[in-house]
Amino acid sequence: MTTSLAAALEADGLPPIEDAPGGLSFPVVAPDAVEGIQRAVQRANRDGLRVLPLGGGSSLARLRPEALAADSPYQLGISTRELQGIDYEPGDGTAGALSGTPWAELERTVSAGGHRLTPWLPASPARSVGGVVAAGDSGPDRLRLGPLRHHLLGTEVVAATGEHTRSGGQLVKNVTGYDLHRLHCGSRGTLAILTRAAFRLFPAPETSVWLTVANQDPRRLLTAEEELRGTDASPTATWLTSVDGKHWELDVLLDGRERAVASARERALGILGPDTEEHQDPAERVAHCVQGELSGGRPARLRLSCLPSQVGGGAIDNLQAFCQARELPFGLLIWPGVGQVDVFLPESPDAAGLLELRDQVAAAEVRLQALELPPELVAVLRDSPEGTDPVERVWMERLLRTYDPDGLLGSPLFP
Amino acid sequence: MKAALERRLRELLGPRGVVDRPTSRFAYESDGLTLLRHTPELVLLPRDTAQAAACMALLAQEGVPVVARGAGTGLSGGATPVEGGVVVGTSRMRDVLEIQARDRYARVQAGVVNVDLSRAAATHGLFYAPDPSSQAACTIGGNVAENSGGPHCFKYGSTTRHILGLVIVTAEGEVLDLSHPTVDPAGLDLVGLFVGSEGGFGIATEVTIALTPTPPVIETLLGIFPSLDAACDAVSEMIEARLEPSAIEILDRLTIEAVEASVFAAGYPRDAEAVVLIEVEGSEVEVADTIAAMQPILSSNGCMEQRTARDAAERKRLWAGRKGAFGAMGRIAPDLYVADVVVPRTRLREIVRTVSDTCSELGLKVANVFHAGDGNLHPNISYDRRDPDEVRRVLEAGERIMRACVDAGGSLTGEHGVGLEKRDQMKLVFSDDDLAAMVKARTALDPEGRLNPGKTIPMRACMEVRTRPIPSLPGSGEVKA
Repeated sequence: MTTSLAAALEADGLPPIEDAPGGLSFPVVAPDAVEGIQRAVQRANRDGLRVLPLGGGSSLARLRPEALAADSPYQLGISTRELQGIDYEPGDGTAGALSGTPWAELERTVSAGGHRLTPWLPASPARSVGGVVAAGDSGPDRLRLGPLRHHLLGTEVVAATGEHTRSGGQLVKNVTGYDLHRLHCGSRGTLAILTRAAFRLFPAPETSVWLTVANQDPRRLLTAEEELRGTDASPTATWLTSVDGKHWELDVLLDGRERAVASARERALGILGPDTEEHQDPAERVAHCVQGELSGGRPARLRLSCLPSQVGGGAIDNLQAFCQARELPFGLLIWPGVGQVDVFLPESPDAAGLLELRDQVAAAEVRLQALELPPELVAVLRDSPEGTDPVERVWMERLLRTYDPDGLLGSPLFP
Repeated sequence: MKAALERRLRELLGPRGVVDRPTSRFAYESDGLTLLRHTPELVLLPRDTAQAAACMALLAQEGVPVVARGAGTGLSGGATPVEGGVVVGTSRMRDVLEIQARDRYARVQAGVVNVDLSRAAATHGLFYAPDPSSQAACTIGGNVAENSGGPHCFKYGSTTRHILGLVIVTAEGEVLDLSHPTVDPAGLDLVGLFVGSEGGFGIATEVTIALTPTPPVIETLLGIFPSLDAACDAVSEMIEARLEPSAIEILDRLTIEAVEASVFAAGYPRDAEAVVLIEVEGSEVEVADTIAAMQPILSSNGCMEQRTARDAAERKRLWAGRKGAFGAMGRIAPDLYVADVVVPRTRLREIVRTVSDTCSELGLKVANVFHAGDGNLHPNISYDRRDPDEVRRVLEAGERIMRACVDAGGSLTGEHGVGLEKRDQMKLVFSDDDLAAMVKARTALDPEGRLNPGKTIPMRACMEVRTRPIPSLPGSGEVKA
């Protein structure tokens, strides 16, 4: 960190924090009010500093090395972790929170009032509200409740040019003005720095049941899952996991009102068979699957997205063939009802291999996305002719340029 | 408009694709907001995406403003033509292209009528959930443009929650294909931004839509109340109790009288001050438990009688009454101003009273029929457009209702859109900086400002300089640039 920048930040009333997360090579400020975020953005504009927006810093494990290196493209981190506060309206079924509020705290608050917040993120207790929205994260409950972006009612942001603006509101139904908050959800802070977000809430379940069944054949489990999804059991979450491509487990979460869950449980057991196990603590089970055996604490490197009917043949078969041909060990976390397959690999494939896999799965209408790959491999996927639609790229570039004309904001996690 | 351009458009679209006779163009002079009218220079009706793109490219070359139009059922003036501009309609794009029952989605052309999609999906045990009152006429493309709602959006959410992908023709005539079947957008959520953009970013020509499984059990209840206040309180309490029916609607006495005197007569009790129409869907157990939890709340709020539809025919009749309510009100007066505002669901009673008081003070007749479960009010003010003073009072009432809602933490529109009707009231909700951020999106995607100019965002000297101004309400007659 240069002393002149540190001094300038001090003079702005923005002293760099001493416990900056994860070995960053540039100063990070964490103002406790929106005005402070605006001052930091103004400083970055004056000095031509490239900014890495941060929430609580919990995604740093996923930041690619460029953010952490000495020659990092970023010169200033702006963290929203000190912006904390919750505005919960139990009678209206909505909640708003400042960006730095821990997601788990918001979850606890609304849960005490009889509500449920989606996404359910039991495996990521350190996430902040801003971080979750900026990442556009979804949780296991997506199957029943849908993605976060459908329940994001509004946002407030500090623009790259310093203005504090808002879109949407805190109402369950509202079409006043353009839904800019939908743009911010998943934009990784590349359009603006999120300062507040509001969400639609759902009734908290009275009870829950978690069922697991194992099998050597993923097709059997996929067939059972699809059959269950077609019934009125309405599972909240279903997923398949395999740590080695040979042994497979299907997990099913049923929750809601007591009698409905009891009825759904009977239905599910009839479909899943007598070897089904029940778990008492769904949160523990989720954490075990997501953070335990599969990943060794590391997130997935690749994601395959497709229609639910393509998960078995299009996604899993192609992936298994690809990995087996290279003797590459792999783990999979599959959301069959959503059409998403997260791929855990001990190391990144090379560029040629990545393009080969992309072409294989593309033939089955499956899209390959980078989650945690070195920037050059992300670029390989993005810039290939089969990558993003050219007109779509133009629209995205125009929006990025319009909202951040000087390229102030960036994220190594934005595709 | 240049003759050469007209000739090329005719060559491109054929005789059925160009409406140029004044008597025919007259039908396109307004949407459901009949207070504002302007006859378009031409109406273009492409048959598919390729024709729409070619058409838009020609219009771009000549700098012609374009207003997209579905069925023209919108109520906010979103499809009101602009001077010197053409209307591009989707009424010849009516094909259901694909229904994939296993993956529960459909791909349709933008001109497919809302209810026709549900009919096509019914054989697969699926339906399209958003159900505006105009669903027998309104198009999917129009629903996308306005992010339309409907009674069952209480459970299923507005249009945006059901749109998986879009094919968009841009202002320049390029085709943007956002219909890939992936779960999340790779990068920015352009589909999410586009839905509800009121024709300002492009024209959707194809839509990929999530379909919902038809619930195994559906029960419809009618709660009969001695006062509108009590009905509002019952709904607020149901929301507070975290109950999740699929629809909660309120109709007041004047609405009931109009419906029962019309072809939509549903059997609503004429002596009730209000009825609450509730639908509950799900498994047998879910439905039974939800109704059991709901009944004491209705009773404790003074509900005089609770009726359950005995069969599908009675359920259909109850809903036909609700959906035909706007049409039925034609009996009360020649014209109807349908307001569309939203409030937090804790404040229903208070705002409904404000609506009554405001209309009473201004000497206007108001009927209430609304999506109570979503806090989405529709005060329907009857008037006669031939009476300029009455028009003035209607517009004043509309403005005062909007202000009251915004002051109560609500907003200007829940499902009809901003269009022309509420454009100037956007300043009640948003700051200049908020609005400037919205203009930036529009400028990025339609740099020349030719798509639906003058709508949605209020104009200032420094904003939307490329668009031709349209006067604010009030006023009937032509929209002058």
